[in-house]
Amino acid sequence: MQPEIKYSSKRLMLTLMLCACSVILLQNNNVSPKNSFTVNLLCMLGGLAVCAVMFLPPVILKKRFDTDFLTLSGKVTPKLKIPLAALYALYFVYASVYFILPYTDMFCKKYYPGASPCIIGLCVLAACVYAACKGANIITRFGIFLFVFALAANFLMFGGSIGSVDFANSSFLLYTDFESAASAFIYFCSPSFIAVIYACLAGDTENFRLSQPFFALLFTALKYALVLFFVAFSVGAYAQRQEYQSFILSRVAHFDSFGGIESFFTALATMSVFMIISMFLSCVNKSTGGGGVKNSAAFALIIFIAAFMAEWNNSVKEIFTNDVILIIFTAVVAVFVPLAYIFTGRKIK
Amino acid sequence: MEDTLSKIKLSLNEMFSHSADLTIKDIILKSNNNLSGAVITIEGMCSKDELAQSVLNPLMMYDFGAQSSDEAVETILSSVSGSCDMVKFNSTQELIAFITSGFAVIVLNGCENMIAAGVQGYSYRSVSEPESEVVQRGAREGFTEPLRVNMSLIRRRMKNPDLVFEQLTVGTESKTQVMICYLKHCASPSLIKKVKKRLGECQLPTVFASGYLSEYLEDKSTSRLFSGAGISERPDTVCGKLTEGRIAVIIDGTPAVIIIPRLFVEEFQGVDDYSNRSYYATLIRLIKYLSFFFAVFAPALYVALAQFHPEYIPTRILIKTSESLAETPLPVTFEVLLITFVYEIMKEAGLRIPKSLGHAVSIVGGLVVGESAVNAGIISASTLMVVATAAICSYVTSTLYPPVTILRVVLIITAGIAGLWGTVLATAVTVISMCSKTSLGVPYMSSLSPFSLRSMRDVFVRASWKKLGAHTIRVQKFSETEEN
Repeated sequence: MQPEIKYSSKRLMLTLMLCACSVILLQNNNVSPKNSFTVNLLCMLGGLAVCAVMFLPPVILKKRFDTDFLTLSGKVTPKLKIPLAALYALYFVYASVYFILPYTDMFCKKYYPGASPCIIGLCVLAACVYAACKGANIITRFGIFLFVFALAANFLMFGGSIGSVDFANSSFLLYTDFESAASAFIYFCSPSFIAVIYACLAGDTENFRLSQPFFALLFTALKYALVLFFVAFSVGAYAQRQEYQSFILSRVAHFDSFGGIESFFTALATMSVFMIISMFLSCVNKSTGGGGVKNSAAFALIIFIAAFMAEWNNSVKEIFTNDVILIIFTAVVAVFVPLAYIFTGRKIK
Repeated sequence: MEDTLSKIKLSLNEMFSHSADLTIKDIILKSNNNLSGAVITIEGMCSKDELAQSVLNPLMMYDFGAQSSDEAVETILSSVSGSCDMVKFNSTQELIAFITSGFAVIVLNGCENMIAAGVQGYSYRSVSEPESEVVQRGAREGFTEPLRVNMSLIRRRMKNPDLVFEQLTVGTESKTQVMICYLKHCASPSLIKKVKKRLGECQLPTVFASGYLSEYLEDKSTSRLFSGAGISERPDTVCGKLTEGRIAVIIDGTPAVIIIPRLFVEEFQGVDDYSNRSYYATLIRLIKYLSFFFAVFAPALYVALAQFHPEYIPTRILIKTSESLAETPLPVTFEVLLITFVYEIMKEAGLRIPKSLGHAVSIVGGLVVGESAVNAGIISASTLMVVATAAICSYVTSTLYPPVTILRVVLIITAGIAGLWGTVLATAVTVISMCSKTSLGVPYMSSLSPFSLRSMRDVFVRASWKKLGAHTIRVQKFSETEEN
């Protein structure tokens, strides 16, 4: 465990941006082919606008008190420490399962059929426990390497797809139905989980600028727009109707006879999920006041049990992969609870 | 007071258990008071000529007249002895320290003060080019075993009063002299304090090599796979590091000087980089990074692709590889591991056996074991080629050889079990481990992560001297904490 020290806010924001970008790597029919590219783009911009709103409370707390919500609440309302820790721990366990399920599903269905999702999940969680024990600062350092790898993988994925772009595959016109548009909009709100991570870790960072979350969301939007563009115009209508369109995009990408870009894609998805869950476990450690292997391992075990149950029971899986539940839960922990403290700001001072 | 000499002789003989190399030469000085004394030395530690010329002859020739023993000591210090290295002291501990360091100690009967005269003259290896850090263009001088010679090699290059040498003694039994060396205006006081504290905590009985102390100097509770303390045998390298705010620890009896803090990117910087043209140095730097990548990942990727993802291998290569793998009885993972271990065994044998037998081992290893095993169909030619390429690549950054070897084996096993996915996950854990490592509180992966754009001019590329010389980046710039 590293000593608690201040690290660059820019680095945390870069890591959060990578976490947000990874959402679209795991998208599985959340964006309906019934939506035109332009509608998806508008839904995405709307979803990221919601993310920006969710960022406001932790950003206000950071600007006003130079701290994060967890630290502030611990100081102001020590009696509420345990209920708040439980609420945040529950959120992070839910969010971890939300990410690990589509990842293992994609891996076992698309990349390596025959692999056991439970074993894959267990291995990833074991690696995450190790990373979480090192602390968020170290994970953000890892984020720099992942950023470079993500640039290379995205370059290969998009560069290899340019040759297949066909504007007859989709349309720039506005056509959709309400259900598909709503589904896409809610899906694009899901990256707002990064606001919760920020609400937990902002106090450990220094040199914060308001432009940082703005640029993080801007680059996330750019990444999403590129994926949406290539999925709409490059993979073709049939492939669009299949599961995990981003994976298919990487599979069809090629440079002459050089293909196999889905390996880079899977590597990127693996490292992104590893980083997201490590960040979650790191936040759980902070919210529960523990930092050792035991604390992280205990929560990783809970995540594993939840994921295991979801694998065997479809109703449980429905709950854990529901975008609406995630958004509502995110709004509660990122907006409503911190807002209560912001409105009593004078008392805090 | 009269029998001080006898007391010292008695206690010395007791302490040294009448050791054969302890030499106590009684002398009677020319004086009206019958001044007597002794010159104490350890045989073989001092030069007999120097002892006779600078100490014994002047002492015997000088007329001390009616001086008392105390006055005589002052006279010897000021005007008798020709030795330029004279120290007055009065404790038995200092006496032992001086004589075991090659000084001649003059003791006068009736006087508590003693004089140590520097007449060291033991034999040692002369200054020569270090075999482990050979350069194409640059100085041919390397450190040698005596501490003072090494200090002079640094001082000759840094004619700067800010260059400080601070002496410590480590090793409860060996009492080894250690010199902490830094540039006062460059090194951070907190780093110097940490180095002194950690050396002070060392309770080893003996210190005969830099490896003994480097573990003490590294940060606790951080990854031990990569070393946080660098080693160099070149004075020019050490001087360069000192100007970047680093601290050198010179140990008596070894040419390997510890430089701390050590960063990952330094492993890819060589002395020749700074003598060559910048574009060529950049090319070499990039080759080093690529070699490191190949040395670590090539066998693991080969195993993962051959065993789990043959579809990623280009068709023509796949056909040849499949043909050769189909003829071998072992699974590809075991095959790669087997060749890796055989190679490590041959490397160890090559290092330990006399040079004259080296060629024989090369022939046996390369031709007999390698070619025969391929011809017999025990191992495939493609596997042998991959492992051999990785082995050669690992020597490009020779200081990283130990972690590279361990990582390579771990990744081969991971790739054998879980394919590319396992390799990716193991790599992620390794990178986290490397990112968490610190050296004296400075992140080991500094310049890359935490990222520093300004430092990039000497990481993947080597910028021109005009740019490098414009602003020296001190290592403490990367320090995120003063604790640890």
